[in-house]
Amino acid sequence: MNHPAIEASGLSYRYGTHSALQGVDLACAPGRLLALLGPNGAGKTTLVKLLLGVFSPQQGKVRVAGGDPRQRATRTGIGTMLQISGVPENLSVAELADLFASLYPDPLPRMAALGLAEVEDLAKRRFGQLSGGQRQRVLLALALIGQPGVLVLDEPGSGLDPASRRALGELIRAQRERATTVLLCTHDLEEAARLADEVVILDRGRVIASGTPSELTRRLPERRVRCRTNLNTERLAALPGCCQVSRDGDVAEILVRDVNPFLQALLAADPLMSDLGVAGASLEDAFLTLTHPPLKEAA
Amino acid sequence: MNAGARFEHSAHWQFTRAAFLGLWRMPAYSLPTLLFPVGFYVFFGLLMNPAFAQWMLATFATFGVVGTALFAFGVGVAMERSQGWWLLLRAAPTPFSAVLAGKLAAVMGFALMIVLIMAWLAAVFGGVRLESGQWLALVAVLIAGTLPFSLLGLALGLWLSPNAAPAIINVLYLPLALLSGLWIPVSQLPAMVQGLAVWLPPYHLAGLALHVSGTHAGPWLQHLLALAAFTVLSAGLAALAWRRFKGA
Amino acid sequence: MRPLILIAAAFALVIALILALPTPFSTADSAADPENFAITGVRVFDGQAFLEAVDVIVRDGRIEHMGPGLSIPRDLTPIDGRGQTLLPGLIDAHVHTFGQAQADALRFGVTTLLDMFTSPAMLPEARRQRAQANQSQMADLYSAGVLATARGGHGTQYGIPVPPVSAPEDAKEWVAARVAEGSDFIKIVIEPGRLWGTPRPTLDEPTVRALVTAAHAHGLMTLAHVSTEADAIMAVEAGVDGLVHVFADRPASAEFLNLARERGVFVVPTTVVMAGVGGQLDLDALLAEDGIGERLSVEQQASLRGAGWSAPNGQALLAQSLENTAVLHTAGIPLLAGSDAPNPGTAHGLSVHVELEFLVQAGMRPDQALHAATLLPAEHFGLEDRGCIRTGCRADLLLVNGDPGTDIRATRQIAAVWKNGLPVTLERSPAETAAAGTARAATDLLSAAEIARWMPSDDRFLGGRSEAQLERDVDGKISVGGELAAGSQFAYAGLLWSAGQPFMSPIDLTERKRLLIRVRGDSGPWMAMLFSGATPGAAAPLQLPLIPGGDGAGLNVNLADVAGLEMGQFQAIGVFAVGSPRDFGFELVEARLE
Repeated sequence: MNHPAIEASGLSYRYGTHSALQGVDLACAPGRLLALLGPNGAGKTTLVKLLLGVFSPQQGKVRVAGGDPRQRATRTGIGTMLQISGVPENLSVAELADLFASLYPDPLPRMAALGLAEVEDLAKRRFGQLSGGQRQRVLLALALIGQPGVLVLDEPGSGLDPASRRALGELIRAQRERATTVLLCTHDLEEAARLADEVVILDRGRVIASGTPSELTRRLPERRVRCRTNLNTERLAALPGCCQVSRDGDVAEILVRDVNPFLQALLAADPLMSDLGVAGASLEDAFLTLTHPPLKEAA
Repeated sequence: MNAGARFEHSAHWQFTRAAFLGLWRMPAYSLPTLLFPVGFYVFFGLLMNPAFAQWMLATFATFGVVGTALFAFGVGVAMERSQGWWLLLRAAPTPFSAVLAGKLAAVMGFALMIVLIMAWLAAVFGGVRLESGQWLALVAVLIAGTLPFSLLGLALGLWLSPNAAPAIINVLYLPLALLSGLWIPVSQLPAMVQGLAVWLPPYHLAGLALHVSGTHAGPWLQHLLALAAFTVLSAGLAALAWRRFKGA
Repeated sequence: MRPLILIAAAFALVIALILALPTPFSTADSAADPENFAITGVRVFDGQAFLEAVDVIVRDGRIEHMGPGLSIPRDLTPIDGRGQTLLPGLIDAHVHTFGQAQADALRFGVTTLLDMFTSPAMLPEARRQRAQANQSQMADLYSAGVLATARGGHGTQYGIPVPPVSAPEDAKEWVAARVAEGSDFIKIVIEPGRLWGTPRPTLDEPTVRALVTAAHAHGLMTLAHVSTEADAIMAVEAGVDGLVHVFADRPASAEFLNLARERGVFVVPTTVVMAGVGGQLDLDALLAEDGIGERLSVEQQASLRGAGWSAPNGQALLAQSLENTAVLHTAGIPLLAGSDAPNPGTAHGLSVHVELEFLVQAGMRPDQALHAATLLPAEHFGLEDRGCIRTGCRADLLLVNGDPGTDIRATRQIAAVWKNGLPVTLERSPAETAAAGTARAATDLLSAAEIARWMPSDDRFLGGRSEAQLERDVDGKISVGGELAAGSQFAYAGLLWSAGQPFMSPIDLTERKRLLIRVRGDSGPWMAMLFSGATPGAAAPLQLPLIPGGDGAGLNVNLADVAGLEMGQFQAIGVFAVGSPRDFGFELVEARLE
């Protein structure tokens, strides 16, 4: 299959005078996991609704799983997890599974679908009695029950503790390994870096960067300098080559474009500086750099 | 797959089952829906006005089925919409005909329970006697009567926010019931509001129920036409609200 | 779970639940029967309140269903009741039943009489008649039977033998005797007579208390006749359940009102009898009202025009009665409508309507006055299906023109009366009644229609101790057995057939020439007794011994040969075991009046 499983081109959407998306292009090849990143208000949710056929594009085109997602037949090839599910809390997991299975032409058996999300033992429980992590897994099972070629997951890990989040991430990754195309909207950059084949960063309705996680970080000229210093943030920011400073107590992290002059100036300013380390930038650094105006302090 | 299994795995059956179980397991819906009309009938009909046991069977059963439809659709749809359930259903390949038909079937199930409970109370404690055909017709009219009120409820549920829906539907439902003569016959209401009744749909549903049960020989054709017109109007409102919902 | 099976099962269950719902009792075969009718668009007083424009369906002697704008099934006779008011048949809570009282009351829509003193001979027939609920000739009767009074006290002056209560110790036995006779409640007279200027001995407080206790032990209510407040307080403190007159000797005191309220007693003011006895009624105006004159029997006219007691000051007594009635009403004491007919100035039936007018005059609203003549007495006397118009109530109904809710006198504008769902003939013409009576007496007194009218009869009425018990066989056999006991000067026990209704009322049977009686049983002897004359039970019966023959005994007599028998005013035939005390038993094989 040469066509991308998820493809958007020249996609624009306005709410009244507010422009939510402006000329967004997006493509994800079959069997790959694409992470969609962006700060709040970047237009991620609008993009997801367009990709799922809930909204109609005002400009541009959308193709998902080989068709127009506004057609129900196309959506039988898409599985979805949304940020808020609103699933009736007084139905049992098994009843929900049967309900969703009835929507697809060739669904998995109920227990097989629950097995994919490791929630077979919850079949008889009411959805309302489940913990946050259990709910997200059940929702993943519901998204998978129709054996979709494309999964669209909007913040699946939000509100979960790190361990649950990590476990859910593993389940999602396992889907990609079953040659399912996954679009993952997330705030969790570490998760995106760990799971994604490709990353698209959206800001203010535009795609501002895309590529593999390593491409994105490699594209960054900065290095991350970490040290224990008693220089305050203003002093550090005033040093040559400094662009961004963050502090945790007396540990400071500074992104610098040109490491050598900076380190010389730092040592000169604070001879007692210790625990020095220098590393390449992370995806988070790339995200912050890309979505914030440079040379501004990040909180 | 045989027909039985195919039916079991059909979206229509699954949504009917889900709607019925969802309502049944929600005491905030099932208790008032079942107990209020039945309790009112026992108190105002069988205890206070035993002479009107048969009359009030028709009117309080109308009160019950109208409430069942308005609340299941009005409040139910507003809540499911705001909680994101309908968004998930839209993102999934859901045939909405199944969602709506399933809900209507569940409403009819509840209506059936109300009417049967009241009919048996009326027969055992109120001495009400009807021909079998009249009993059947009474039940059939009231069950069919859930359709226009479900459509009105759907329109309201699509328009209203989940916070406003219960309040507004109550504000609509209770005066509607009173002025339509569901609690006391219209002829016993103050003269100045008697004329309002013919403009209120529950009055016509009750009129039809009274007619087919042989309780009151009313202008059945007028009631039927009024209900048909109300059904068309409610369907139009629901369609408008649906378009607005789809666009949002 | 197979949903299709589930749905099919649920559907079948629903259909079964609907088809199992009860359907009307009778349908096709009762085409436009006068017993089954519907009154449409009528204002209804349901015993408590008015309902506007209601349809009432009456079937098989009961109110089957009611409601506004019903569809009227085709097998019902429709009656347009617009502009009219339908009331429950009225209940007179204070009467004395003699002669035609039950028939007379009924023509005025009074369908139930609560009798406070009559001959106990009436009681068995009264019980039978009210239980059968298949006639529209007479109002139903509940009665105290004879009353409890002191030797020579009030109540003994009317010619009915009254066993006196001399001391508290007598009470138990006296009440037991009333229970045995079939009294429905116990009437106690406390009347020193001073107010009427004729002092009489009266019961004292301990005796009243003992009577109340004994009556309550049998589950019977006690009702007291009083005329002074002091006696009223004494009676209530002794535990009586109701007073059957309002006292008029002085204004009601707070003491009495508090006591009455605390004990929950009711009062039957009977102001109409005060007005009647004191000559305070405008009878001419009353009789001039539409429809009233032609419905009054000779007895009713006689009692209405009867000379009052020589009460010293009728006007003042009536005024005081009305004032006390008003005070009692304001104090919330339950008041029941009663006439005390047939005392002078009253008439059975009619006087209840006059009493309603007095109750309204005393400050009751018309609906309260009607309540006092319908549901309220029914509740106080435990009459479950009377005094009400609602599903299941007995179809004793009074239809009047106009609205008694605005003018209580509209209850006298009688359009129709139904007893047990059967229409009542309102007009009374003596010739008509006599003819009806003649027609009613069949030749074969053991025919299906007549066999029900034989009643056991024995000498207990005259103070004896014999007992007769009747057995009716389905195929027209009737036999009587029991004990013939010494105790009265003339012991007898057997059975009695009353020619007219009510019991022993005279009818014209001059065209009947022969009487044939035949019995079979023990060795006898037996005797037939023939009763005749204008006043029921007044003259001694004519005694004809049965002559032994075959396997029993018999009689075949030309009635013209029986000296002293008045066939124009024939009352009853009795067949009795007489002679030496014994356990007796015989079958009545033949009884013909040819």
